[in-house]
Amino acid sequence: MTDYRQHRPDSKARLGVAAILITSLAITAIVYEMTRRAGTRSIQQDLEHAVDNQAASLGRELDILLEVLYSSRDFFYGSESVEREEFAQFVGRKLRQYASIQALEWVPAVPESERTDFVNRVRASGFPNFEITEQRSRKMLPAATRSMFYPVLYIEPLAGNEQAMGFDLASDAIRFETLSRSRTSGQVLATPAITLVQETDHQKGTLVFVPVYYQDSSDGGSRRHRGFVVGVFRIGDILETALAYLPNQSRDIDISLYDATDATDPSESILLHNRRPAVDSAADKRYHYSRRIWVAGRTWRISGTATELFVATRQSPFPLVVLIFGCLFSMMLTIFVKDRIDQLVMLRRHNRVIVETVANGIIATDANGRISLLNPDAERIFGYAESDVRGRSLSLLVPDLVVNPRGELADRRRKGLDGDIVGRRCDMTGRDRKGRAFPIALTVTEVEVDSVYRFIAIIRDITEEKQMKQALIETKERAEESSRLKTEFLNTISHELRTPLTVILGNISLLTDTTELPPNPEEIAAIAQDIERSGEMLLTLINELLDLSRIEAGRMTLHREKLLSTNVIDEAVEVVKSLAETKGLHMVSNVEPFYCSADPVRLKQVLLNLLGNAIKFTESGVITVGGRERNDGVEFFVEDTGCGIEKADLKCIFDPFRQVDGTATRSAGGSGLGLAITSKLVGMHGGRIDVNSARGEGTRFTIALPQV
Amino acid sequence: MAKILVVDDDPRIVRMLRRRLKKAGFETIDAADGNGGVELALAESPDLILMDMYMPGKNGYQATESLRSQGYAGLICAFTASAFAMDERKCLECGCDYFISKPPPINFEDMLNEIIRGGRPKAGQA
Repeated sequence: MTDYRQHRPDSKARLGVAAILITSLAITAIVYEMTRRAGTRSIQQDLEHAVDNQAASLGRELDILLEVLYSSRDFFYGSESVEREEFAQFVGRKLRQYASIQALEWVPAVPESERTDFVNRVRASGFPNFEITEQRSRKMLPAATRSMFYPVLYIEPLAGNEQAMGFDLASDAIRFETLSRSRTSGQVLATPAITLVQETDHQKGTLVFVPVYYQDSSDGGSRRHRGFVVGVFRIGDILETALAYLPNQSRDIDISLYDATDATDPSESILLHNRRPAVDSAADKRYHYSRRIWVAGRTWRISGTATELFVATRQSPFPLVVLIFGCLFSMMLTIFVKDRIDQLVMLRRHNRVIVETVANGIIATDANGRISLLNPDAERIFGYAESDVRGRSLSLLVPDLVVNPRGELADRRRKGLDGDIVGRRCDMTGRDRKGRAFPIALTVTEVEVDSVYRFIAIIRDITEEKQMKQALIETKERAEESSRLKTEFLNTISHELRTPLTVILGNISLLTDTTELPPNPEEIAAIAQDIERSGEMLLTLINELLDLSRIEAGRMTLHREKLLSTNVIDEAVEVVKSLAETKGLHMVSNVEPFYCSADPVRLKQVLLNLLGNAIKFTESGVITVGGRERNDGVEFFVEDTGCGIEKADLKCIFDPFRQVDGTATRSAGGSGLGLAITSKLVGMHGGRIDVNSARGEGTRFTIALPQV
Repeated sequence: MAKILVVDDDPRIVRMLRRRLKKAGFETIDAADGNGGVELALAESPDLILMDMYMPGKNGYQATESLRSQGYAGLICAFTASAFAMDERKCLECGCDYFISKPPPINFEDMLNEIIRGGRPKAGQA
């Protein structure tokens, strides 16, 4: 059984479905990725925006603080000498205002030569323990000699910062480096982050040096340096203050401030301060931004890292929705498409199954009569595979079918090529691959599907059908002939029985009336002879009919005996001898002696029949009877010089009642059954009887019997 | 005296008929086959032909048809040993006027007289 689950279209269909699924998922993935990235960018932008704002805020804060320094410097430019109290008063307000300022200092430049005077002056002003100090082994000790000292003279607030008074900023490398550059360049410069001398907590700070010169202008160079206004800034506080302006913008960002001035790459930046986010949320390091701000010659970097909360509050569910929806849609689309394809394939399979299993050949052609389909049965009928004949003309298989100029399928044999074979069953001739022509029954339908299928022909090989029909016709004819023969036989029997009875009864009535008897005895005797003869004939006929019936019914049994040929012949001749002599015929016996196996009664009956016929149909001459042995049996023959039998009649003389259509028949007597019985008796012995004769040339009957 | 032509190939039948018909007062002539029968009929114009239908050579049907096609208008009575109904129809169709089967009934001669007196039956009568 053909398995219709395997079929080529599936692989293409699967490919198509897979392609749709993959494409759809790919599009979903792309869109998802795009929206996700957009979301990410948006968050990043928010972060950057926030950090930028904080940076701006920080910048403003730093500007404000530097302004404090500038105004302090201007204070010094405004007067030749500034007393401690003046300084304290001036800066006191600022200090109170700005918590980020750890201290504001006035640091004069003190050359070595003036050191002693300087120290004495300060001691005299109320600080008896004043000394220019430097830090060695963590202790503030009197500073060593150098060419220029930069001691802290004024420092506000003084309370808590007493230790810083007199500290020579030049003694510290970092401070000295910065102040030198500041002095030389005239710029406001900040130190790198330092741990403040007076601090007890862990904030980083920076010293910002504002150089002051003796003249009004401050472009540095050859002007004499007076000193520095120094701001000690708490960096952490500065940042916190800056961030506090826009509290909501940064509460979910982890902000760090770095000093990146000397860093060749970001990892070398020095952390100045880290402000943890206000919210309790871990950092999401994916979102990170930093930007530089320049302050007092240093490059700081403020960087913000988003917290998970920051991200979460800004995260749109849109990408996920897109993803989920896209996947769902992909699935549904794929399922839908697959379902449609499955349906189509199933439908096609259904149709294909029908076309392929139908027990008739189907050929489909296009509008030009070119073959587009051959189903398996048609392949079998014509001996081609579908692929062999696709595109070839239908005339290859059915030579008489052509497409006429009007586009109709027509029978070439019909005049005018009118296309009226469509819809009707036609008997035509098919031609198979081997070129063999055979009869087919063909029904053509015209369809309007597309150009591929236009004519559909259903074909049946009717070779067998025709043969069977022919055989049936022949059988019928034979049966009819047989029936006719039987009727004829009955007719003849009826006739042969009634005729002698007619003679008998017809003549009898002449003798029943005593008053009207025939006048003379000769007449009466003649009548009686006719009656007698007819009676005998009737008896013979009846006996022979009975014999024939018995033989036909299989009710005759042969009693075979071993017989001597010479005896058999002599006995038969004895019976007919006188009859032959009466007619003036010679009887000749020509028999070799041999033994044969036969029923003596029946064999005699046969010989008597043949001899009787010979005598009957011979007017003059010789009747020869004989027998001899052959290799495969024995042979008896009866030959006469009589009138012979027409060649045309020879084959039916053994039929019952068939008598030669000659003149001397009825009058010669005989029932016409003799030869029929003879031939059947010979057949029952397993032998055969043959006749050789020609009109006017005598007749020879030969009986061949098989060996014992 | 009415003349009856007997056409039959069996000489014994012919003899028997000749005897009976003569006794019944008919003049009889006879022929032994179809051809002879046709000749004699045309020549002698008998009052009645007793035609045996089953003869070798030209049989009774052919003889009757031949006579009728030649315009013979005399009475023809089929006299035959056939027993089948369709034979009777066949006889009448080929031109016989009457049909008597062998062996004939007892009042055979009376029947013949009546037939001769009655002439040919109208078409459709049998």
